[in-house]
Amino acid sequence: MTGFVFLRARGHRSLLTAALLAVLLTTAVLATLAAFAGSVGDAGLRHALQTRDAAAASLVITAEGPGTDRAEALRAARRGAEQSFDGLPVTLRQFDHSGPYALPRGLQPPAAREGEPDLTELAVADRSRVRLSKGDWPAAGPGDVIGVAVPEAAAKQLKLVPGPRVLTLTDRLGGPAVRIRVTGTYRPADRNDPYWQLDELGGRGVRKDSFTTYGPLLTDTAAFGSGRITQDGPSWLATADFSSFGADRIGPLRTAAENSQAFLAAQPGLKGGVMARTSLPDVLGQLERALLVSRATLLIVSLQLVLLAAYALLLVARLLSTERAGETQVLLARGASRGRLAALSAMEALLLALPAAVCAPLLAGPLTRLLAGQGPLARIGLHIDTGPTAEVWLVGAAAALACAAAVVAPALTAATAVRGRARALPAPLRAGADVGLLVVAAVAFWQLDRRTSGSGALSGDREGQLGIDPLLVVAPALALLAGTVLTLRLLPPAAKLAERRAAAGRGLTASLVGWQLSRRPLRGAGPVLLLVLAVAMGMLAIGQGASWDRSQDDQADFRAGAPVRVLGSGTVQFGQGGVYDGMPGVRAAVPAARTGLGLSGGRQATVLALDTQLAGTELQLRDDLADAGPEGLLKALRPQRAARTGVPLPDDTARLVLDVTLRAAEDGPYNEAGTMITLTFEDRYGVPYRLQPDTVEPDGKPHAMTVDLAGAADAPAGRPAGPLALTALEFDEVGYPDRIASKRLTIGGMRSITADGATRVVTAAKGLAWEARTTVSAEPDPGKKELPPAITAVGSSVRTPLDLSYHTGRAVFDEEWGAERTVGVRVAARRAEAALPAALATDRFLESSAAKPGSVIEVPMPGGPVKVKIAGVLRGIPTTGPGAGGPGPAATPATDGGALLLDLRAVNRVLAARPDSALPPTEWWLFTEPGTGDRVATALRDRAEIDPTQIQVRDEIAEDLHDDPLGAGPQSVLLAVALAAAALAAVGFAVSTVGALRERSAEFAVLRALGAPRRRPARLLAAEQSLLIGLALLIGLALGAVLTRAVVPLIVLTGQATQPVPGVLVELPAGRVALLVAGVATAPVLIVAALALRRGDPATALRVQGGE
Amino acid sequence: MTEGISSHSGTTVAADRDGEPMVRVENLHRSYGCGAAAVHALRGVSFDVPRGELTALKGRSGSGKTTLLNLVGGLDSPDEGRITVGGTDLAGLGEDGLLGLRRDRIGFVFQSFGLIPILTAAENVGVPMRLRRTDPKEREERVELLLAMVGLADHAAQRPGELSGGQQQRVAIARALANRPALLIADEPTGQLDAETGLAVMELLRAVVRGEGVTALVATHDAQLLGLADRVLELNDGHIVEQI
Repeated sequence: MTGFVFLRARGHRSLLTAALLAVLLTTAVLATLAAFAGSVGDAGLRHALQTRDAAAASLVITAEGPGTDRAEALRAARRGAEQSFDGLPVTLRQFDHSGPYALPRGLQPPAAREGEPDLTELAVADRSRVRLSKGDWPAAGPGDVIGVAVPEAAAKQLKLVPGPRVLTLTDRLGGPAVRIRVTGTYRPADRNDPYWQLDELGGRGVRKDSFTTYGPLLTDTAAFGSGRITQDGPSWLATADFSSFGADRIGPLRTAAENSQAFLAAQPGLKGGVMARTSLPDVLGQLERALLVSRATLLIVSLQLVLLAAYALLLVARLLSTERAGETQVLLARGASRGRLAALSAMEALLLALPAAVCAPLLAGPLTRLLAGQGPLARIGLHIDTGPTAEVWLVGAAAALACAAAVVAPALTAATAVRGRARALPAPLRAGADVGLLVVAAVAFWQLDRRTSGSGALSGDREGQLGIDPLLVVAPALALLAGTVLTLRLLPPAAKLAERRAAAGRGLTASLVGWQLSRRPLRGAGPVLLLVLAVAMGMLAIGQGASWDRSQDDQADFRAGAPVRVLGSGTVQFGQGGVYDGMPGVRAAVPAARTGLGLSGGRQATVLALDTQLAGTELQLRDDLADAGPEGLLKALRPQRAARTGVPLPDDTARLVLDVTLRAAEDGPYNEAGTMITLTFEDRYGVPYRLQPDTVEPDGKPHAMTVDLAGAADAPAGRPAGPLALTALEFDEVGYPDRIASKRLTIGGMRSITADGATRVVTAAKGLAWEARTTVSAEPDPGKKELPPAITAVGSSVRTPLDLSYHTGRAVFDEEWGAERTVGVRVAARRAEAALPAALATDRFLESSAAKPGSVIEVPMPGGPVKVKIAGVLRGIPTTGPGAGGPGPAATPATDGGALLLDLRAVNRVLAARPDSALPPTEWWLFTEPGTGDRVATALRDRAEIDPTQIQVRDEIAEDLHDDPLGAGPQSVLLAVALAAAALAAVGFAVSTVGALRERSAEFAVLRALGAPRRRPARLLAAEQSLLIGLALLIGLALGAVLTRAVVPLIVLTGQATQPVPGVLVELPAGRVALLVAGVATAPVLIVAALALRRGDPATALRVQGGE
Repeated sequence: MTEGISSHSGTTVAADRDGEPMVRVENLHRSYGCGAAAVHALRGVSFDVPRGELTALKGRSGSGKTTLLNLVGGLDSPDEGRITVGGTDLAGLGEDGLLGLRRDRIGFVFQSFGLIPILTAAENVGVPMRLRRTDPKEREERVELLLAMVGLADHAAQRPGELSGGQQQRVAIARALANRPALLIADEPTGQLDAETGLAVMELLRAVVRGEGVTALVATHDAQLLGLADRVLELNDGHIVEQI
C-alpha cells in the first residue's frame, strides 16, 4: 500500500507540494509562536527581576538590637533569605551602621551654625559596592582616632580631603564622642544598585531636609566592632539569582516572599528582632499579569493565523479533492472500501505531517532568535533560550497533524458530492450564517468593551486564579471571520454588474471575464477571501503594532506631563522657584500645586493648579482629550494679565533693608517684647511667601530691618523666583488699650543688597496704593463704649513707600487689667478684585460630583475654600487618574473621582486677599530644549536636596514602556505574522489559480482552435485574476481599516491588563499598509503573469481531451 | 489564378479557385519524441479533399487521424511536407496567418464538443463571431439562424450541462459554422454519442455540406457513418492505405 500512496502522490505532486508548503509554513509559524511565547515570557520575567525591578525584588533584612551576635545573625539571615526566595540561590550583602552622630559645627557655614547640626553616621559597607576615588581605605590602627572614607559628594560640600586633620563627632544618643580622620573619599560603584536601599541616604552621600545628613563615613570592621562606636543592628540585602527562574515558579516564590518576615523571625540568630521588607510579591503579581497580557496578544495573532492557514489549506484540499474525484470513483467502483480510502488518506496525511512536525520545531529556534534579534528585544539585550521544548514539539506535532488532516480529509467526501448548477451563495450563507456570525462578533465586542473599560481584561476563576479572557482572544478572529464571510454577500451583486457588461459589446475578453465572474462567483471566492483575510489580518497586525508604539509614547507624555517633573525637594518652597529656571537645557519651569478633593462615595478627586500661561503651548494635550480643541480650553483658564502690584525689587536682591519706624503713643499697658513684622513677598509666578525678618521697637526711631531673602531661600542651593515684589506687611499688637492713642508705622526707605554687597535704592512706583485693615481678638462692646482698632491713614510716596496711621481702639476693663487684646494690622498693596477662577474638569469628575459645565463649585485650599467655575471638560488631565502613576497613593477605578485643572496664578490672586493664604507649588514641570531632558535630569539627580525618586523623566518612562520585554515582545511577532499571512495567501492563491487554469485548459485550447490569438487566453486569465485581486485588496483594505479601528482599542492593553491612559489612538501607517498590500499582491500578480505567459500547446490540450 | 482576400487579421490568403481541391496534402511527415522512442504519426501522407465534399478519414486508434486533422487545421506544424488549404500553403503563413485561417476559413468540431460550460448555447455559437468582433446585431441574427438550422432554436438559453450529448454536438457544429468557413474539420464528432445520435449528427454534417457548400473533413472509425461520406481515406500506421 505504501507504494501506491507514493504513486498517488506523484500523480499530484505539484498540488501536494503546495499543500506541504502550506502545512510546513503554518506549523513552523505556530511552533515559533509557541517557542517565542515561552522563551520571551521567561526571559522577560528574568530581565525585569534582574534589572528594572531588581530593587523591589530584593529583600532588606534589618536585625534589631545592637547586641545581636553578628555571625549568628548572618547565618540566620541567609537561611531565612533562602526560604524567602523559595530555594533560589541567594547573595547576601551586609551593611553595618552606627547611630546618628553630629558633625563639628566648624564644618557648617557660619549662618547655619545656630540651627540644627549636620548629622552623619559611621558604617561598614560591602567593598564590592563602592569605589575609592581618593586616598586610601581606612584600616585598623592603634589610637582612638578612627579612619574613615567620606562620600565624594559630602567631601565636596564639607571641603574635606584625606589628611591628618582630626574631627570629633558627637553621639546624638548620648554615647561617647568619636574622633575620626579622613583617609579617603569614595563613591558608589552603581548608585542604582539595590544595595543602597540599606543606606538611608541611598548612596547619594548628602541629603538635605530640615537638617543635612552626610555619609555614611565608611570605616573598617575592626574599628566598627571595637566598642568605640554606638552601633545599630546589622542589615543585609538579599538578592536572588533569577537566571533559572521561569513563569511556572511565580506562585511558589510569591508565597515564600509573603512569608519572609515569618521565616526570618523564626531563625534562632534573629530572635532579638528582625524586620524584613520586600516588594517581591507585588512585583510578581504585576509580572504575572503582564505575562498573561503578553500571552494573550500572541494567542490573538495565533488564532488569526490559524484562521488564514485553515482557509488556505481548505482551498488546497478542495482542489485536491476535485482532481481526485474521478480517481476516487474508480477506486470505489473497483472494490476499494471507504476504510481503505481513509487509510490511503491517512498515510498521505502522514507524508505531509511528518516533515512539518520534525522541521517546524527545529526551525522554531532560529526563527525565535530572528524575531528576538529585531526591534526593542534586541535593544534590551534579552537573552532567550531557543532550544525546542516539549511544548514546542507538541504544538508542532498537533499543528502538523491537524493541517495535514484538513488537506486530505475532504477527498473522502468527494465521491458523494452531488454536482449541480453552482448557486450564487453556499447553503450556510443562504441560511444567514454570516449575519449570525456578525451578531455573535458584535456581542463579543460589546462584552469585551465592558470588561476592558473597567477593571481589566484578565478573568479570574472561582479560586481567584487569573487567566486570559477567552473573549479577548476570540473576538478579533471572530470579527475577521464575520467580515470576511460577509464579503461573499458582496460577490453576487458585483457579479450581476459584470453580467450586464458581459452581454453587450463585440469582443470576447471582457465578455468572458464578465460571464466567468457572474456565473461562477464562488469559484473566484476562494482566492478573493484568502487575499481579503491576508490583507485584513496584516492591517490588524500593523495597526496593533503601530498603535501600541504610539500608546507607550502617549502614556509616557500623560504620566510625566512635562519632559522633566520634580515632585519634591528638600529646599524650602520659597527657594525652589529660581533654581530650575536657570538650569541649562530648561526652556520653561512651570510651577504646579496638587491637592485633593473628597467626593461622595469615598472617591477622591485630584486638583491640579498649573501656571497655564507659562505652560502655554508646551503642555501637549492630545486633540481627542476634548471635544473642542484643548488649547482653546486651556486659554480659558488663564487669568487676565494684570500689572504687578506692590513694591518690585531688583531680581538679584539677596537682602532687603527697610528703614522702619514705629511711633506708638502709649495706649495702656502693652507687650514690651517689640512688634514682630511679617512681610509678604510675591514671586514672579504670583505665589506669596511670608517672611518674618525682625521685630521693631515702638520708639519712634528708624530701625534698619534686614530681610535675608537669600537665606530664606536656602541659598546657595535655593533661589527665589525673582524678581520679587513686596506686597504686604502685617503685624500684631498685644496689649490692654484703655485709650485711643495714635500710632504710625512708616517705611522710610528700602535698599536692595546683592550677594556681592552692592546696594541699590528701591523706590515705590508712582500710584502705588495700599489697603489696610485691622482685626481684633475680642470684639468691642459698644454698650461699654469700647472702640475697635482702626486705620486712620495709609499712603505711599516715592521716598516713603509706606506711611500707615492707626490706633488700637479702646477697651473698658472691669478689673485693673482685663483680658489681653491682640490687634492685627494688615497692609496690602491694592489690587483688582480677583476674578472667579475657571476650571477644566474631567468626565469622571463631573460624573462623581454631579457637577456640569458652568457649575460653580468650592475647592478646598489653604486658607479656606475657593469658588471655581467649570469652564470645560477634558477626557483626561495629564498626571492624574489611575493610570498616571503620580505621587501619593495610586488611584483605583473605584476611588478615582476624576480631576480638576486650575490656573495657579488665578487661585493665588484669590488667596492674596486672605491673610496667611497661599497655594505654593508642590511640583515643578520643566519643559526642556529638545534632546536635553536626560542632561537636565542628571543635573537634578546630582543635587543633594532632591531625592532622585522625586524626579520623573518623560523619556525614561517612555523607554521603560517601550522596552518592557513582556509588552514589546509580542509586538515583534506582528510583522512576522503579517509576512506569514502574505506567504500563506500566495500559496493558496497559486494553488487556486493553477487549479483554475487546469480546469480551463481545454476551454483555452478550444479558443485557440477557434482562432483566438495565443495571448487572448492569457489576457483572459490575467483580466479575471486581476479583477479578483483588485476586488480582494479593496475589500481587504476596507475590512482591515474597520476591524483595526474597532478591535485595536480593545486589545492594546497595559502590562496590568487595563486600558491605557490616555486611551489608544489607532494608528495605521499608510506606508506600511502600502507595503503590506504590495507584499500580498506581489505573489498573486507574479503567478498570474507567469501563467499567462505560458506558451500552451493547443494541439496537446485538445489531444488530452479525447482526440487520438 | 490566385486572388488575395483579406482575412480579419489583415493577412492575405489565397482565394478559392474552382477545380482546385480545398485541401491538398503532399508527403506529410510528423513524428513525436526522438531517437528510438520516437513515434512516427504520419509517414509521407498525401491526399486531396475536393471542394464541397464530405471526406471521411478512417483508421483505428493511434493511426494518426487527430494529428493529420491538427496539421490541416494549422494547429500543428509538420516535420516535412506541404499542406494547402483553399489554395494557401500553410507553411507560408505565420502565427497570425494561421489564426486568421482558423478564424475565417476553418471550423472545428471536437469529439468532446469543446463547448464553454458557463456559456449558453447561443453564447457558445457567438464565440467565433466575437473573435471577429462582428457587430452584435448581426451576431445575434446569425446565432439565431444557426441554432434554427441545427434544430436547437428552443434551447438557445440552455447551458451545455443542460443539453444531451447530441444537442451539445449540434451546438458545436453551429459554432463551427458561425464565420461561414470554407472547410469544416471534425475529429470524431460522434465519438461520445450513441449510434442513433451519432447518425443524426453525421446526417446534419451531410446536410450542412450539401446546403452550405462547405467542405468537410471528418475523422471517424464508425462504419455506419462512413457510408454517409463522399470519400473515405483510410489511415493506417501513418500512411494513407486506401482512398475510396
